[in-house]
Amino acid sequence: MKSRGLLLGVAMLAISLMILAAPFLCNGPISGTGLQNGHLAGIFRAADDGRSAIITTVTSSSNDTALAQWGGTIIAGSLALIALIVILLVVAMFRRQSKEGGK
Amino acid sequence: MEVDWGAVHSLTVDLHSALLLLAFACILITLLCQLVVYYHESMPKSLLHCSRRTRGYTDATAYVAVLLGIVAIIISAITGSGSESSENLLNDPIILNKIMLTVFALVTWAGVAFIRHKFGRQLWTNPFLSGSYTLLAIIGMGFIGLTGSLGAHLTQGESSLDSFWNFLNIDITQDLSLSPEWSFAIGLIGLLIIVFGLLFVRMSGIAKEEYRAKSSTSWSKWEEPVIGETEEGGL
Repeated sequence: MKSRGLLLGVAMLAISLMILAAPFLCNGPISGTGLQNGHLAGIFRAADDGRSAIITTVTSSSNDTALAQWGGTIIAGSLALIALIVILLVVAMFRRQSKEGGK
Repeated sequence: MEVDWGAVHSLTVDLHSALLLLAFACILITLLCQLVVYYHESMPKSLLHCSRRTRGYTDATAYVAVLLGIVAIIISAITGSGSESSENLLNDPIILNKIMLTVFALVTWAGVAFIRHKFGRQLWTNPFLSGSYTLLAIIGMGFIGLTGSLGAHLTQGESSLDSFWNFLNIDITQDLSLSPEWSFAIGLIGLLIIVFGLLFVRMSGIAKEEYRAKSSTSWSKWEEPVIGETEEGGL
């Protein structure tokens, strides 16, 4: 059980590091490679000036506003879906059946 | 030897679609079996027997298929990137919409996998959670279907789901991105719900066993689907 928790922790850490590293990878050390033109680059291309796509979307000061809007929509939609999952889980925990009345 | 990423992408798309369709079908079947067992008094004996024997297997199959399907979606995204020119990837509205729906599908199926991982087979003992789990699978499958429809538009110029797009009055050849204000509002509200929802769960302790014992409530209403179940419901 402990090893499973540790494995999950390491996986979560790895994913978090990848997400954090993506803008730097896209715009930094391996700029000019295929990754620069991939999905992550699409989301983070607006981060040329060091800001995240959603902030650039809000301020609309990016040169590539359409792409920043697209990135902002992806982030907003994903957050909305995660919020839906959280709401469903919280409601499910409340909707327990009484021991006496339950089947 | 040069790799034809378009051909590889066709294969990987079929792989993730098949795996997630299998997961979706198994989740629906498990829910139906749970309903049949719960309403056993008004169900034919043969159907009840079949449901008891089936539900444990379909639940486990769905879990494995979802996990493999998530991996396959990521592989499809990589092969899809390779199959289009960078110019198209960042400028073609259909491809931008396709990537957006793929991300939404990935998030939704990750949610399905999370719920199954967190609650295990016990999730099927709570009717509301079972319904939520199935609802997320339906939404996830919807995203996969719509993404496939966009893929058909790219390759064939049309899709069998065009009537659906027409019904919604959506032109998928146009960029479906929201305005910055809407993105910000939806993102902020979503973030607040996530943060306060998790804080609430943490502070109230409703997820803990002690809370259930203290409040005299039980998680269970339906039976847990178990592999190798007999007609009487035991092992």
